[in-house]
Amino acid sequence: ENSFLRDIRQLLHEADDYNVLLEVGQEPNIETFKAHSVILRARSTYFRAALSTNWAKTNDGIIKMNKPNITPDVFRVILKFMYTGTIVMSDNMLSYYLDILIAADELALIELIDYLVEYI
Amino acid sequence: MSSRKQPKGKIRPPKKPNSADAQFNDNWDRLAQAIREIHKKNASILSFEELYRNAYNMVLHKNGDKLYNGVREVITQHLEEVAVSQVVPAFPLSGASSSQTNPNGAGGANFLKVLKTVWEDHTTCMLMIRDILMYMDRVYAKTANVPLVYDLGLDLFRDTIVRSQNYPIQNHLLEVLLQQIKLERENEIIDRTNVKASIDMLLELTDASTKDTVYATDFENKFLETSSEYYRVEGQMLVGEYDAPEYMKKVDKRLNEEEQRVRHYLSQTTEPKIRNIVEEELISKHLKTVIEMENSGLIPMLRNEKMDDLGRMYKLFGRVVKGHDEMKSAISDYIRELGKAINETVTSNTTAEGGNAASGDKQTGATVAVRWVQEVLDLKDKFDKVQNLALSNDKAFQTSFNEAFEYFINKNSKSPEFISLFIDDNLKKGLKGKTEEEVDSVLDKTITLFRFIGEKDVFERYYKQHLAKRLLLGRSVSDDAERGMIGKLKVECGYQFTTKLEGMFNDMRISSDTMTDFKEYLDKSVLEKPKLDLSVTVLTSTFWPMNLSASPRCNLPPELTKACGTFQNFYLGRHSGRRLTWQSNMGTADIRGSFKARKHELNVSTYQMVILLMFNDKQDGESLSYEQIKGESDIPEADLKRNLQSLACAKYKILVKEPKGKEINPGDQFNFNNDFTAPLQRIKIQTVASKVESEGERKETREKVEEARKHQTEAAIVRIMKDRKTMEHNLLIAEVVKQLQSRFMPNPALIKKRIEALIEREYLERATGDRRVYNYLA
Repeated sequence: ENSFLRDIRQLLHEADDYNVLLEVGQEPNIETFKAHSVILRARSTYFRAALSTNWAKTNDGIIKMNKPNITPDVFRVILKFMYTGTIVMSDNMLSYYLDILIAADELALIELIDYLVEYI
Repeated sequence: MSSRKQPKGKIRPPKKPNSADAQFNDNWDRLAQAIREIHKKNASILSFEELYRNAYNMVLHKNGDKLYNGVREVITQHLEEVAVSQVVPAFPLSGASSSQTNPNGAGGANFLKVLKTVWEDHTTCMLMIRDILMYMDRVYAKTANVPLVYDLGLDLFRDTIVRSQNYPIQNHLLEVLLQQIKLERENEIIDRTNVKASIDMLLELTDASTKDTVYATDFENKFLETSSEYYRVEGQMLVGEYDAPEYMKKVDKRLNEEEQRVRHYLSQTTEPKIRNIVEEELISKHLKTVIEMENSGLIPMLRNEKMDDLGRMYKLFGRVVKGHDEMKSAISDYIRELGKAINETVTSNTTAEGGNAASGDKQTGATVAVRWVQEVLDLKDKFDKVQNLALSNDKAFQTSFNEAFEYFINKNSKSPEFISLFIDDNLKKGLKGKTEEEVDSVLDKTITLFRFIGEKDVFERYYKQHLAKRLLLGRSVSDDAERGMIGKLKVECGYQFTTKLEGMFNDMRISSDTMTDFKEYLDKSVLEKPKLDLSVTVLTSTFWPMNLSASPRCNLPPELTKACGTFQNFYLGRHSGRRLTWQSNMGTADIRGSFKARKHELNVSTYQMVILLMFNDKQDGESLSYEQIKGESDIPEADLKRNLQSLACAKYKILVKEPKGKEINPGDQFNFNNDFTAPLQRIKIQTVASKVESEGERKETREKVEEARKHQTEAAIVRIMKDRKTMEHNLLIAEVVKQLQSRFMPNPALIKKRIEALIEREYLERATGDRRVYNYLA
C-alpha cells in the first residue's frame, strides 16, 4: 500500500491539528467533524471557495462551518473519500446511496460522482 | 399554466407551483441582496454555505435561467451606478485631455486611477460572486451554453463601463491613454501603473464580434495611427536639426523607448507593429538624407573612421528593407572613387618620371608600383577594419567591397605587373628591415589583391620574370619565403599555375648538384683546369621566361669561352640530346680591379665583366669609344647602354665617361677610372633594378600574352571537343570561357577565331546540315 495515502488517511483519524470544525446535519441528528482545510480545499472546489479568506469565518484559528442539508452518515462517507480517494460501499450504505450522490454533486466531487454512477 | 382556470370542486391540486415560486423568490431575494452586499464590500456578514445552497437549490429546481438573468440584472444595475457615481465625475476637465488646459495630464491620470479602482472592485466582486454561483456555472451555464458568470461580468463591464452607450467613457479613456503616452514621449514622467491597469483591463475584455481583445479592437489601431503621425513629424524635425550621428542616436533612443513602453505597459503583440512604424518613419523615409548628410553622413564617417557611428548606422539601417543596400552602394561608390584617385596619382607619376626613367635610378619604376600596391593595401586595410569593427563582417558588404576593389584594380592595366613588382620588392634580400613574419603577412595581404586581378596570366608572366631575376642574381631573401609565396599562389590558382615556377626552383637545385659533380669531374680529369671558377645554372627553357630564339649574343673572353666548353662537354656527356644555350645577359662575375688607392673586388654582370676586361689591354688614359665597345663585345644595344650606365653614371664610377652626363650616346668615350676610391673592399655594381616596363616592353609582353592566350584557348577547345565529340557553338564558347576565366577573361571573338583556325588545321569540322555545330576530328 502506498505509504503516502496511508499517512494522509491517518490524518482523518488523528485530526489533533485540525483547523476546520464542520457541524453537519439538523437537530437532533447533528455531528461535528474535525478536518484540515488544506485537504478539503485540495479535494473540492466547493471547499476551495468556502474555506478561502473571502468566505471563511475564523475563530481562534479554527474555521467553523455548518452543513445542515447533509446527514452526518452521508458526510462521513464523503469526508473519508476526500482523505483517502476511495469509497467502500457496504450493503447497509446502499440505502443512502442516492443521498451520497446528491451531496457529491453539491460539493462538486466530480470523481466521486463518476465512481458512484459507475457503481450502479 | 396559471392562465388555465382551476376546475371547481373539492379536490384541488396542491399549490406546489406557488410554493415553489415563493421559495424561488425568497431564495433569489436573499441572493440578490447578498450580491449587493458584496458590491458594498460587506461580504463578511454573509454565509457562503447558505448562499451557495440557495443558488444550488434554484438550479436544482430548474430555475437556472431565472437566476442567471437575475444576476445579470443586478450586476448591470450596479455597474450603471458605478458609471454615474464614480467614472463620469472623474472625466478630465473641459478640453478633455488637451495638454494646454491640462499640462501634466493630471486630470487624465486621475481618471485612469479611478478606472483602475473600479476595475479592481469589479473583478474582486466577480470572483466572490463566482464562488457562490459555482453550481450555476457548472450545471446551468454549461448546458444552456451561456458564458460563465465571471465572463458575463466581463461582458457587462465592457458594455456598461468601457463602451457605455450613455456616457463618453470610451472616448475619454482612449484620449487619456494616448495623451499619457504622448507626454511620456516628450520626456514627462507619467504614472505607468495607472496606464498599465487600464491597458490590462482592455486586454482582459473581449470584443464579441471579432473575438479579439478590446485592446486590439478599440485601442491598438488608434495608438498606431497617432504614433505614425507623431514620428512622421519628428522625423522631419530631426533630419533638419541634427547631424547624422546625433540623428541615429535619437532614433536608437526612440526605438529603445518604444520597446520599453511595450514591455512595461502595452501588449507584446503591439511590439512589431510600433517598431515598424518607428523604423518606417525615422529610418526608411530618411535613409538617403542621412547617408548623404554633408560633413556627417556615411562618407565623412568612413573618411574619419568613425567606427561607432558606422556600426550604429549598420545596425539601425539593417532594420529596414533598403537600408543595407543603400549603405553598400554608397560605400562601394566611395571605394571606386578612392581607387580611381590612387590609379590617377600613379599614372601621373609614371608619365612624370617617364622622362628620366632611363637614368637607371633605383627610385624610378619599381617605387611607383610599390607605392600603388601599398596604397591599395592601405585602402583594403581600412575597409577590412570597417568591415570588422562596424559591419559585423557582413558577407554581403564584403562581396560588394570586393567588387569595387576588383573594378578599380582592373582599371589599372598595369596592376598585374605592379603586384608582381611589389612581391619582388618584399622577397628581395636585405631591402627592408622586415622580419620574415612581417614579410609573410604583407604577402598574404598581397594575395588578396591578386585575387582581384582579371588577367592572372599576365601576372604569371611578370612573376616569372621577376622570380627568374631573383633566383639567377641570388637576390632572393630565402628559398622558404619564395616557396611560401608560390604555395599561396598555388592555393589560389591550382597547381597548373605554379608548375613552371616550381620547375624554376628545381632547376636551381639540380644545377647546384651539377656544379658539385662538375668540380669532382674537374679534380679527377686530366684536362687543364680552367683559370676561373665557373658556376653554371642550367635552366629548362620551358620553365623560364627567357626567349631562346632571341638569345643574346656576346663575345666572351677566350678564357671564359674555354671554360664554358669544358662544362658543355661534361654536361652533354651526361645528358645526350640536350642543347645548351648560354644566356650571357643573366650572369654575374667576381673580378679584381687594381686602382691607384687599393684593390677592390667587383661583383659585376657578365656584360660588365666583358666591358671591363677590354680595358686590361689599354694603356693608362687610353679610352674606348662606345662604338668600339659595341663592336668588340657584340652586346645588344639596350643592354650595353644599361651596363655602361651602371659602370660610368651610377654610384660607383669604375669608368669615366666623356662627355659627362647620365645618358649613354653614340660617340661617348670611356676611360678606366684609376682614381676610383670606395670605403668597402668588396663592391657590388648594381644592375639596373627591376622596374616598370617601358611602353615598348609592355607592347612586347602584351604580344607574348596574346600569343600564349591563343595557345591556351586552342588547347581548351581541343580538350573540350575531344571529350564531347560534337557541340553547339554557343555552348562551346561558354565552356571555354568557364575553363579559362580563372586565368583571364577570353573574348568570344578570340575563341571564334581559334575555332576557325582549328577547323583549318582539321582538328574540327562544321557539322553537315548545321553550321552552328562542330564535330571533333580524331
